[in-house]
Amino acid sequence: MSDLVLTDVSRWYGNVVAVNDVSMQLSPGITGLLGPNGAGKSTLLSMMAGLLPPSTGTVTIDGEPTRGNVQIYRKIGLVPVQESLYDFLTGTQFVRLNADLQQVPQPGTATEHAIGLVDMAAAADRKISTYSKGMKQRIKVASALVHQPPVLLLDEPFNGMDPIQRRHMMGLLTDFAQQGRTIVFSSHILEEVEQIARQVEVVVAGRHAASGDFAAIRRLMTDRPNRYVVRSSDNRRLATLLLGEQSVRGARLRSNDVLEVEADDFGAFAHALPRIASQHDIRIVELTPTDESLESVFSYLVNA
Amino acid sequence: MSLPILRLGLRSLFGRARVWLMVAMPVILVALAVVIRQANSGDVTANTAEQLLRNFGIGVAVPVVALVATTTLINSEFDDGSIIYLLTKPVSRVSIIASKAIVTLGAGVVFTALPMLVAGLILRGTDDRMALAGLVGALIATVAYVGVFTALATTMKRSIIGCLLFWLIWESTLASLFSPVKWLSPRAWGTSAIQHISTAIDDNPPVSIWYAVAATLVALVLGIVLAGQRLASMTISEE
Repeated sequence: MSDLVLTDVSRWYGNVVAVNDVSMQLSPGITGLLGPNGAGKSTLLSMMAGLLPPSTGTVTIDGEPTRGNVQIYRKIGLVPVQESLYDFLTGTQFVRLNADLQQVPQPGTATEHAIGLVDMAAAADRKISTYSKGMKQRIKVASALVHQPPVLLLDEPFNGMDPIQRRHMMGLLTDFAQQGRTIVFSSHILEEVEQIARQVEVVVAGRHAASGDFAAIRRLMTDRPNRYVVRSSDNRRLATLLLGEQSVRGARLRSNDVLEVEADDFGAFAHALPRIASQHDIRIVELTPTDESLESVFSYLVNA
Repeated sequence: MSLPILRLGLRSLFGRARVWLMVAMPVILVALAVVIRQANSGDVTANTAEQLLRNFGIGVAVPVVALVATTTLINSEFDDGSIIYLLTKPVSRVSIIASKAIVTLGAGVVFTALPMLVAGLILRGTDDRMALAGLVGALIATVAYVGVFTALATTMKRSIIGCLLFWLIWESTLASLFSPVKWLSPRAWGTSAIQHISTAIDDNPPVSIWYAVAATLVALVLGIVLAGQRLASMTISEE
């Protein structure tokens, strides 16, 4: 069990501030580092991995600084974003290289185990140059966890994966988190973060914009009311019932079969709508957030 | 020094098709020496021998082998960021660079310095220290080229093109037009070493042997220091 702690960390390149006074404490479990491209996520991860010295502030794992201390890498597994690997090696050779460099006691067994974890045993003896994007991603993950590090850092780990591979990888990270490891991954895609991260740290333009669990973050990120289009078996009655809810600000019948709803608190609304529908025997035919990116948040909450 | 990194370096250099480019250099060099010896019925003049060692050995074989080795082990790993897998391991930066340098310089010894010795022996036997001159000249030029190419690799974006331009424009073209280029030219340093060591050459070598040795060491140190600095500020998302 290891804690990764950032204290007043800033990093600038010349006049450009990439990371601005960020403090966070990352504990065992999965933390999603969420932010748009260019927000400073990679710079933050580089500093967490000790590759880049912070201009000010400190980054420590269990109290030890990550910078200027190569022994810290026994505790860190890093999955970088770039695809460039030693692609003249086979998958096995590449993972074994990482095991050897980490001086793992039984590098052969550890290599085999790590490759099995990411489900790459069948392709392990092929050269990495023949791998697809998703396979490269998985072999990178195997190489990062071959020494069973307490801290695993992943930069955009789901890039290039198909939905099945993505689900498999998410399951793997979840298992790892349950073993008490501290897992940090960056992403600019909300859906990825909300599916597995218990804790979310939002970075926007180098600043630590928000921190908390996903629902809290989601609420913070939507300071304006959310609009939805609803179609049901009885729109007029549904509108009347919804207006009785705290979370609903307005409901309007746009045409005969479309109801527009404006809600303040999407969490409460997501729970209220199915409850009302089932209590009053109204069948919901369609529920679409007008803001596209909210869609998955909704289906997630409704399903939960 | 790190054994896994040495092994990786050997695989990187010898496990791919580019190894044949390096193998070709000593093969051509020795073959040329044999042909010249045959053509002169076994009696090759010191000048002819020196010209082959200087023009093909120092002028082509050494920079080609140094270029292939340096770009493979240093430039391309920096450019594509794959060096990150070495940096995030409990291995000191110094031993990462040292391990790579050993493989690179080892390739220079095997593919150019020793073949230069062999070519020298074929051409002149043990006369007028020609073979020794070839060996030492190639060693000096190899070390200097590795240093210069490494320095270029870490300071330029398109580093392989930069190295080629250095070799083709600076060394091969400008050096013959402007004499001061010799002060900053591994080729001139290697040539000087040959001409100083061999007892048969009357030409005035471009630079003194001491300057050649000192400049070579400076180039190597410069390359290593620059590479070290680049390593120290590597991020996980270079390009």
